[in-house]
Amino acid sequence: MNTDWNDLIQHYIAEQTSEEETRRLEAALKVDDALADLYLRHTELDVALEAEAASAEVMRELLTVPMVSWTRRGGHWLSWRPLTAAAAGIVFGMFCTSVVWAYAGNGRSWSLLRESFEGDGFRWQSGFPKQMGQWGGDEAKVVSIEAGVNPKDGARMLKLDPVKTDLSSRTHCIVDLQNQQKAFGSTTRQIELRASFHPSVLGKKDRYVLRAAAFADGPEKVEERWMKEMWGEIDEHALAYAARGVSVPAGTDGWQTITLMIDVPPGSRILVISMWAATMDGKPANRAAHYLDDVRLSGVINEPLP
Amino acid sequence: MPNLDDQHHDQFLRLFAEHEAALHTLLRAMLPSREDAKEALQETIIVLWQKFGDFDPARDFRAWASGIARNKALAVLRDRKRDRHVFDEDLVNRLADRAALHEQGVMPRREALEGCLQKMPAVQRELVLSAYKKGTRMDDLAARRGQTPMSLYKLLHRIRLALLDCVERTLATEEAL
Repeated sequence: MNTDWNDLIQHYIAEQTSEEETRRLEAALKVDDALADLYLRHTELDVALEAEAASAEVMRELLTVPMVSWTRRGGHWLSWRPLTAAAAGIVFGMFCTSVVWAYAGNGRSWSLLRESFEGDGFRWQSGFPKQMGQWGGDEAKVVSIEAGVNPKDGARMLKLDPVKTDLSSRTHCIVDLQNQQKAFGSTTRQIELRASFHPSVLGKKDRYVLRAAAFADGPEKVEERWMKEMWGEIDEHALAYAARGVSVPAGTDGWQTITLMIDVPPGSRILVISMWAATMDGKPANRAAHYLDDVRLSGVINEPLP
Repeated sequence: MPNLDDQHHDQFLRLFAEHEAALHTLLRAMLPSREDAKEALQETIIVLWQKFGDFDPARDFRAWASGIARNKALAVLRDRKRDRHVFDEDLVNRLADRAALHEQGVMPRREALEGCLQKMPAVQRELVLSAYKKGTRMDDLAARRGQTPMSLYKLLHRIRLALLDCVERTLATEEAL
């Protein structure tokens, strides 16, 4: 096989051959099985490189989820602030205690949600949740100790199975803010989302993302794609949103606790929280399950320092 | 769209995800451009989904799906039969038959390619992945790099040949072990 055929095939699959060259290649491919196999290796490489490029692009997007928070006031997007590392950073192996009212920094906090998937009453359903208090998303199930991983809190945790058709596995919950109006009052309130993740298999780089968005409408009006796609349409629909993505180096053991802050304005009826877990590997077969546990949502009342 | 229950939907997704690479490879072998192959793949997915209710799970999904993909590709070629760049139908059928013989090797070759991409210099890897990124125009990429489009094509040809060679050597080494 000479290089001339390699060049001609590459020109053909790039649609750069003349009619004479196309017919010459066609005639040769009809009588030469080895040349036909070389042609197939080139077309196969073309498809594979396209898939590799798409996969690299998805990973790059996921790695650059900005650390931002947006809040709409009076119908305009007025507030943008990059979250500080202290407010939005990852805390490795952090130990948490139960709080209903506690002091956090220079403010008090109250608990909006604490879920460690313990009770028999916990219900998870496949697909994006459509009701207040409901959990759902990509395939997941409640498990106890598994693959040598102990739940972070209590005896059970949520296992997020890998998704064959997507890099990330996502789970969402819709939190009712209406019954928090008393605590909210008429001012914008900070809410902190905290969740802990653990991979089922070590040795791969992992990526975890927290997203939260506040809406004036009820859960039935919220579309899954607003929470699933990177930034897409969410700024047209949400009163506030925030996201935080964290990469965990291959081989890092232990639970990884991530926090996210969002400024929720008055008039917010629901808060949708999303937790994403991804094994950073382009090949679906290499993606592992991840465990999620100890998800907490707390409102923070900032008070001036004495 | 058939009213399939969740179990059927999951089963379809699982089977399609498993065979998507082989189907895309088959279509690319039969069609003259990446865009044609992608469009034919999209249309194939729709037909597979529409007919999945009638699919007998005892049958070979890949053979069933490949038959539908081949028909889609031939329909595209008939639409483009006056195009000077298109191979005749006899050759395309012959290539599809040979592609079927190599189907089992698609995933091992992809795995080998991943390793080869990791082993190559980062500059070359970034270049080849940029060239294949959705929406990339070769003349824009060449201008950004301060090259003529022709010199960029030549460079990409050399990188692709090096990758093909690396994939073959990797597979030969694995077979020898």
